[in-house]
Amino acid sequence: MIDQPCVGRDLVVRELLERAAQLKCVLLYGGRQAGKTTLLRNVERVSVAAARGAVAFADAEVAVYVDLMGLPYDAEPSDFYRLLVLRTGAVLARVEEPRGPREKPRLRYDVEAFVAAVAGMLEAHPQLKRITFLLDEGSRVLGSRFPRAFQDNLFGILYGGDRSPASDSLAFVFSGAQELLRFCEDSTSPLGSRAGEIVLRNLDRESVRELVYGRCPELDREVGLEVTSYIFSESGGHAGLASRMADAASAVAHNTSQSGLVEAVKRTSHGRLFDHWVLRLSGGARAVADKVVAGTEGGWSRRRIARTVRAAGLDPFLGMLVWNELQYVGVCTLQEDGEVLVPVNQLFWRHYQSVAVDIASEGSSDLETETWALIRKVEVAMRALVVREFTKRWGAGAHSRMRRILGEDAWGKIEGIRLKAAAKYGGSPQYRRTLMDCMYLGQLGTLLESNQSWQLFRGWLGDKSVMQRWVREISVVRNDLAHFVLDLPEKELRRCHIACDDLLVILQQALGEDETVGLR
Amino acid sequence: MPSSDELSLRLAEIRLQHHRGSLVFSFLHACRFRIETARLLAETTTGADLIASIDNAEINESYGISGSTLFRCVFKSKVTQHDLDDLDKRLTELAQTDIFNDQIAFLILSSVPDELRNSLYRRVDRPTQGHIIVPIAQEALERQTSPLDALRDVLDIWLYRRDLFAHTSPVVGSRFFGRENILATLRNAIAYSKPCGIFGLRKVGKTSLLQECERRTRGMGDLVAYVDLLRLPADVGDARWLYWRIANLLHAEVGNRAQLKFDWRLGGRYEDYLDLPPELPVATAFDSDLSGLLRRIVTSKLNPKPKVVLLLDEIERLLPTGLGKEGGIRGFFEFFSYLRGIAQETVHFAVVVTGANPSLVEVPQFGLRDNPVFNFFEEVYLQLLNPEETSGMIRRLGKGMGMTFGDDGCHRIHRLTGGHPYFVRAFCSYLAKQRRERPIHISSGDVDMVVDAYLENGGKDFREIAARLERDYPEELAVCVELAHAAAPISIKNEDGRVMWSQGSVKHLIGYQLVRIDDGMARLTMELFGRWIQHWHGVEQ
Repeated sequence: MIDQPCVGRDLVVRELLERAAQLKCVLLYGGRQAGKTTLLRNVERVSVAAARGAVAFADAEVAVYVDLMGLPYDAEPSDFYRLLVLRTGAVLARVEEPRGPREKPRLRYDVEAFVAAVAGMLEAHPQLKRITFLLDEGSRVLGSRFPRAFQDNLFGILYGGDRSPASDSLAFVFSGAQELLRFCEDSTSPLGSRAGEIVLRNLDRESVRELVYGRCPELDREVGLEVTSYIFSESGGHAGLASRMADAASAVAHNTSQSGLVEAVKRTSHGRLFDHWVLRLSGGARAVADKVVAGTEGGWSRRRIARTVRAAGLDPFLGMLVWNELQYVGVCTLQEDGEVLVPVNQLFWRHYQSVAVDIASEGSSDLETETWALIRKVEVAMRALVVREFTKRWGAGAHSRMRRILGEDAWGKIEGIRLKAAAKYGGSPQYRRTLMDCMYLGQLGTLLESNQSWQLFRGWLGDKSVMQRWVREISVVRNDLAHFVLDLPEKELRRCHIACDDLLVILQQALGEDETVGLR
Repeated sequence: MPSSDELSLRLAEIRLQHHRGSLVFSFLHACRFRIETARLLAETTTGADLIASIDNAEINESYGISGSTLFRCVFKSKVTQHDLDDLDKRLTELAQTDIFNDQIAFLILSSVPDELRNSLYRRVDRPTQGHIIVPIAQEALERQTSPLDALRDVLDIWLYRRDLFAHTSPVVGSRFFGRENILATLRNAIAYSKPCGIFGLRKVGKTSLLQECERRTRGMGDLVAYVDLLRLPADVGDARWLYWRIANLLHAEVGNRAQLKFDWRLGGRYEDYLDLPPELPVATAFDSDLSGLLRRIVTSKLNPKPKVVLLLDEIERLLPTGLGKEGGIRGFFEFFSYLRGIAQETVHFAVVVTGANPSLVEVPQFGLRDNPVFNFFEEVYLQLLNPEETSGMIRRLGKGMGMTFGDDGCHRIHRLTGGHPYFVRAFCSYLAKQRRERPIHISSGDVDMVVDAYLENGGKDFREIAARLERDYPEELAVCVELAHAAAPISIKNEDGRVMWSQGSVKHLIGYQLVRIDDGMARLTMELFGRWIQHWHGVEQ
């Protein structure tokens, strides 16, 4: 990922580092594209620059950004510790050359070995006092993916007091959204109980203006104000949305009129993103959202939220979480000295209004249903992307290329399925499946990852092994769900759900809005 | 040489060695510090250490400076990281004595360069970063008019920045408050080799208590093995790690005590757990070591004979039931059966455990196997702080930040928090952030002014309690909600004279100290929890 400039987050950065230093663990809540990754990468950049200048006293702190998506699908704590050690080595090398020989990373790390490795690295950089790990996608080490004792170990090294040598030299920041609450669930040693919470809120108007001018420095004042005003009122200052809209303006800024510029911004579509937001909203947040789109006016005080949550048949204590959630998802903002929330982000609310009926008719979607719906979207998006890119690259020879990649046997079966399907629907003779409709998910994955085609997709999918892992995780569940296997393990469903989520975001970015409309 | 003469001689050396040494002496004298010890550092040209205690109630009250305090006077012109490390080391040594004030030390030097100032500020802002070191530039010492004002100016700038309430790690030594009764109970249990289990709410201070118990027990000459079971590596599924760890800790405890030396089979032999040979019968080797050690103790001429004290923190980590995690560890039954056997066999062995849930010792069986520690431990419930302990903690910490608390303020905070040490600290930390003027006197009115804001911004911990109750004890949560809505004590009996709630619910709520029952009237122990429930239950007050 290319580092984006981080605007409007100075206070959050300061608060994050202060609380990490004081509490040793921070949960950073932010919805999709709220700017978590940009923020964390920026923190690392700033801290490395500061640490470079610190020479006299051993109290510099360095923040190490770690994308936990980089963990293998079957990762264990050892992989987690190893990833942290490797990243730390890379970051510290940017601070300065270590004094003394560099220790070769081990293949396996337990918690003690990890602590020892970090201590060794700090010793090699005497000006450093503390390493703060900025762990993006904290959900990767939550739930069934890692044993619960893993959290115990982290708790032990952070809060073990004097007997934990790393107690003062380590801090962890986990970023994520609703799933971070699982850090608070354990009965004996929940990291969440000691952690500070930071909610990543929307940008203010001034920051949006800075963002717009950062992308389109050539805008004159009047146009800039209008574009800023439009983006702010439509996005509510949501970092991801505002950034996309500013990009849209930037793309046409040099050759279009003032009205054309605003029109270009207006054409930016966010439907797929909003589908995800809606899907992930908790029941309590949906209860409030339903009231908002039903025309209920006024601000949302904490009590009003609690009452709404209770009226929806949910635990009113969830209101406190809903209060935060509506902010970090980016659809409400604080007003009246923090006393009430008011809906912002008109783009989202219009979208929510348009899908609210569908949501209501679906009833309460369970995990299996949600996952199946996501799998369908992933598969359809993969087909669309494969067809588009193969056709772009090989034109009429696209199918021949697919045939070469998949092999004659597989291709024969695909054609066989298509022919059988044509005969099945006697009542709809005009119905014809395409070859792509007849491919299995695994075959689509092969078309993406083949050495012959990977270059077409590498720019979006990045790490091939990660993509392979996603497809594996999705395929297993997909096949069982398609055969109506009962009582699938929840952890497998969740694993698949997350893989779908992650892959879908990339696919939709690759496809662009126009091509994903049909996937809804 | 008489000690007073020795002190005079050392002071003379310091004053003669460097002009700044002479200035420090005069300054301390003018501020009414009583110098207790003084010495030039090993390299006499680099500086000197003076330990002094102040006889000034106002300084003591306003800044919490009491006990013996270290003043390091630096003669050379530049202070380096090495100097700070050396000072930290010295403070750590001095902190072993209870009367020493290890919360603060003074560094007297020619001037305070920005880089040093910033580094020391970071220590103040981040308490875990090292001892608080307050620099005093020579210029302040030379203010002939009022050295005490100069001292106040420095302390205002440096000490009033601190938040001594914000502390997330276990506390021991001089930072440990109260609990004298329960510490005496523990000492008694260890003295009579009675296995003891400390149980209590999360964050109520179990680990701090156990670590303080460790400190005091070791101070009495016993051999202590403290095991934080949260450190049991996530991929360890059996008790081998425990045997290895305890044996190594005991081996280290024996150290150079010649009368207890023998050939260990496990302890001290394998520095890294992964070095243990797979074929090594670890439990047998451990038994050999422990038996050998106990034999040495019995046959030694040590008087009193030391005890082997095993302290296990967070016992839930091992449990083979739903009370524990992921089925606990293999070998749990054998491990505790063994401990039970040893404890019954010898008076030189004691074991103390902590846990959140006393079910460990209340359940006769786990699955189909007999619980080896059923009724084995004497159950000790860690109580919340009483009003005096709460006030003592608030006042002592507040003093060091320029906050004084009146009786009414202390009482109000105790009522709000029920004396739960974590909530007392969390609330006071929030209060300190809201009221930044210093010095400041806090009354009950000041406390009440921030309660609503605290609940809105800092209610995460209550959310956890509510979530835990909802998941595991919904009936108990309903009782809490009822009490919160009543906003006053209510009778536990209904009109028929029967207790309104189930016996189990009442037992849990009292055990976890969420509810108090006095004269048949029940109320929530922590008023804040009640207010939080009102706040988030969607009920208008």
